[in-house]
Amino acid sequence: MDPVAAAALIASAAALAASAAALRRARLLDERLRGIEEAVSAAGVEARELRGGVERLTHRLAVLEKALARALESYEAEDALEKLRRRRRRRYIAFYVVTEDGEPPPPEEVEKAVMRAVERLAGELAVAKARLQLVYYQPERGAGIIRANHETKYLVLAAMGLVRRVAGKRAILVPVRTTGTIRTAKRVLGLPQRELKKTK
Amino acid sequence: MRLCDLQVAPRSREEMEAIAELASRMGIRVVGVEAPEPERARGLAEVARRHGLEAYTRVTIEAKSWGEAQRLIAGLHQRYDIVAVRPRTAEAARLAARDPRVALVQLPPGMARYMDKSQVLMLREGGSVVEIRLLPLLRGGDPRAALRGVMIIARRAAAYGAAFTVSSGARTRWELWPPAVSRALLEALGVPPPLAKAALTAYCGQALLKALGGRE
Repeated sequence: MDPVAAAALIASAAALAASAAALRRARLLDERLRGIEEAVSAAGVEARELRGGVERLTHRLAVLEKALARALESYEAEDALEKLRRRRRRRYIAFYVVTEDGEPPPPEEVEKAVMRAVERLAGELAVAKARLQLVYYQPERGAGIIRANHETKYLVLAAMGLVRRVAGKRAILVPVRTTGTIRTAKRVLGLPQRELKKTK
Repeated sequence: MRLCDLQVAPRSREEMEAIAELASRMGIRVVGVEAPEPERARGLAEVARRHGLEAYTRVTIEAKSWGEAQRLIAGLHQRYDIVAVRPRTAEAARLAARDPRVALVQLPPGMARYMDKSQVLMLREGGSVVEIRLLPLLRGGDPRAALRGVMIIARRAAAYGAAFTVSSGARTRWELWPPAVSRALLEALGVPPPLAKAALTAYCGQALLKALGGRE
């Protein structure tokens, strides 16, 4: 055989082998690429599913939050209602009246003066809230007991300081003590036993 | 617990008698008696002592400038037990609080500009006691402006830890404030109960300690 032709044959065979190897590599690459594409598409599907899951979870959480807020609101409302249902707490303010001429004023004038002072100090709503009432009055001693709501106790006491005239006469209301029962208030004023028993 | 009213200013001995009698019925144990002359103040204080009260003479200085106030203080602090200053400016209030001879800085409820945080802190560091006078509340008409003043002064003093006390400034017995009422007024205005109580007891003691400290 002609050596030149043999060399050309060998060269073409080598080229063929190289191209065959390149083709194999290309196929392998193609397979890998396909694999990657499949994996990416599978991941996309998973991601979509995951997003959907997260959205559903968020929605459920929002629903749960709303339900919780409602439950809290109703709990607070129930708490407020419970306060309304509770028995009213009253305070009894024992006091005595000091007047210019030493003659104590009539009870209705004392009550009116205190109510007017509370209204002047804190307004009509405070008067309504305080549920003021002169529950006991001894005209000969000028000693009395005024009943008020426990929440407005300080307001009523402060308003008593603004009372400087009763029934057109100069007067001062001097609080002695604030108590939880009328019986104790009477005891503070130093009333005799038979007067204390009247409260029973 | 000694309840006090560090400012009563009766115009006569008879009025002092009446004030002392009613004050002791109200449970007040310590009074500051104010009069323009020291001898008269001492005489009135003696009347109060006869009714079982612990009485101290007192003077309130109000001057246009701090220099003038200092001149007055120098002349008066040996002749009265308690020296109080009614400052017209914030600067005067600060200087008065720092003066060791001044026990009380009286802030009237109708001030044009109330003290702010830094001024309260300066008053506190000075060791003086802020005095709130309740007499303006008894003026006729609407008490809201005076109440607002009392509320601002008391709440700011309480909030920033300055000692404060309330006094009636009574000229007659009809202007006295029962301690329970003064305390309730402070509490109704938002001052915490322990501080409202201290305003009528412990803070008065602090003022007396500063006033009488170093003296017999």
